Amino acid sequence: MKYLLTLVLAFSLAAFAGELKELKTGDNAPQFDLKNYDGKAVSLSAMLKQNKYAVIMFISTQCPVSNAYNGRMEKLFESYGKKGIAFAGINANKEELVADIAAHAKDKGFTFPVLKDEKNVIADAYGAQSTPEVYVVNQKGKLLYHGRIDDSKKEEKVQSSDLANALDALLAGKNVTVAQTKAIGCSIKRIGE
Amino acid sequence: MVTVWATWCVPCRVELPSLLKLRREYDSSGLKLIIVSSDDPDLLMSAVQPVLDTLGVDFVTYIERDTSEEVFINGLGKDWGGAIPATFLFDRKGDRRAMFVGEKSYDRFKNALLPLLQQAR
Repeated sequence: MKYLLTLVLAFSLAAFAGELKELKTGDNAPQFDLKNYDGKAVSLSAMLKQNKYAVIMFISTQCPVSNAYNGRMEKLFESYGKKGIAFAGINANKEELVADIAAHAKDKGFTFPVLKDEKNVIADAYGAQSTPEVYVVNQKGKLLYHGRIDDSKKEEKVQSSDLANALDALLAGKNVTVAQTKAIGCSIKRIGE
Repeated sequence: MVTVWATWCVPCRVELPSLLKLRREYDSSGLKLIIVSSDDPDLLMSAVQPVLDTLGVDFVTYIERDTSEEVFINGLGKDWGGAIPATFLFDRKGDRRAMFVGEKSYDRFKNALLPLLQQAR
């Protein structure tokens, strides 16, 4: 009995990571209505009401990989924000509080909102595993790009600006050529872990 | 058991001693622990090796070539996005039997490992 219990426990634990929903391009992006670090509500539907596309970026205040992209994320927002693309960071890490997010955003000069995803509900809905991890959604709520911002933690080594390439293609009315990418990043620290 | 870590990843460094303990306990029972750093290879001697030395790692470990990160990630799991720490259990046939993303405890690894070692007997 003890062995059986161990076995069941083992498989239920092992299955956890695989249980995270994995969104595919073309899927409906889950709606969210979260609070920015300044207390203002930001929803996906509101972002898309005034913009052609929304870029959702799961980020962290502590993750060195996410932090390596602070400047690049702000530059992307400054460049594409005025072209009808809304940007929002989402912080789902359980140990990173709204006050930490506010201080970090101020320190790094973010002019895009950073929303707190309490209890990682939205990270779970998107199946987001790491920081930084980004999603691009169109006005119909369909996911058009998912993955990394670019292909190197070191800005000077970047060879493929995947997120910018996807946004350029969309703004030019074309399909996104590379719609799914991956990169090593920090695991999102979820509740119950 | 394949684990992917990096020197910049605090949870990875917290978790590694548990994996090394499992290796000491179950190496003779059929567990092979493969440690792969995802650090920049340029940091091998300056950053990676000192951490491994501190942890008492006296066996061969590996470092990911940064030219093949996506291939590396997909090779370990099509359902793995690349978040670390990440640890994978493979059986003798090379079939993946478990995936752990994020910092996990010694007991969680052990609970997954023991039934597999018993099955493999």
